[in-house]
Amino acid sequence: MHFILVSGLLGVGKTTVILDMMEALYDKKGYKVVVIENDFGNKGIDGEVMRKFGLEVKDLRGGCICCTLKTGLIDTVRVIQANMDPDVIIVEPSGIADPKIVINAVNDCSGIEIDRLSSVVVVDAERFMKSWKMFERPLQNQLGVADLVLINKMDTVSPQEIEEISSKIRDFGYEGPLLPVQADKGINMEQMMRIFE
Amino acid sequence: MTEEKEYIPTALAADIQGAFDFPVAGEEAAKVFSTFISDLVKASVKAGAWSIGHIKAVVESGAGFLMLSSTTENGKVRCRGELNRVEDYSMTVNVIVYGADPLRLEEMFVALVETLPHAQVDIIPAEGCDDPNCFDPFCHRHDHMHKDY
Repeated sequence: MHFILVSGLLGVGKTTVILDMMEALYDKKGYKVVVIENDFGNKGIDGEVMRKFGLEVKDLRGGCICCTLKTGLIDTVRVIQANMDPDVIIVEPSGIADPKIVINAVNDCSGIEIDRLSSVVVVDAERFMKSWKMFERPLQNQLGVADLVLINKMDTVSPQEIEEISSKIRDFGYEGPLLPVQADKGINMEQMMRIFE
Repeated sequence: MTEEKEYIPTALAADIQGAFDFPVAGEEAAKVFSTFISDLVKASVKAGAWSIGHIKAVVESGAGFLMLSSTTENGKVRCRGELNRVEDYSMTVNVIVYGADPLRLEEMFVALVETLPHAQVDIIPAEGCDDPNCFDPFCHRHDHMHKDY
């Protein structure tokens, strides 16, 4: 089973990226995919939207999966694997979660068979240069465990600004692949999936 | 989770039920809802928000649905989905912004809801729990304790 964690600050487009992933994994490859959503509080919207698009979604609410719901996440993954045996589980934590804690929890637990674990971090091209300093620590946490960084909303900035964003992301110590995308139009998403293969 | 208090956002969630006086085309209804979200962003900024985490809504009416999202202070709204003819509608709104005064934000939100056609709103209060390390503003688990695993 491939476990994919899609992290990023609030409003960067994580849900849209996951919808694109689903198109590539389920529609084109026929993989069995389950999405686990950890939205704020009891009024999660992302899970509802994904269901509208016909996806199999499990909600984890009433806390964050990097602290109170960490055990809930592990239990949920165990149950999903036992009952549904999916090829891929995609987890979308809330925009404030620390993905490192989630990854450690998944790696350390017994009873879950994971062949591959990938951590995708989404940043927002439109807001990154204005906001990176304000959210330096959560960004550091996210980029510190990233296997792939997507610079989403690439249509909102110039190629030179994409270069500046890439350079700043490198300043955080991230050395992996960086890919500008426009998730709401599916631009460069095929390239993203190739990086996974 | 993050440890700096300034990362704690101001949050507001609400369910809205409403109805147009007569059925309107989906595009026309979408414009009404999009304007509402855009105005809500501007209201958040007026209430002191220095950053919009996200302002999201999902509108359901008949078989159609529309997801609206705004993440920038200029109030630009992105939409997904489609509405058909709309008369009755339900809308779930989720606001997470940084720096806004919660009471002022709620007052402005309620005033904006009044601009929607025949709308009634049920606001879900954001309390937060007693755990200083929990940053979920909607967490209602007062027995919640953060543990470093």
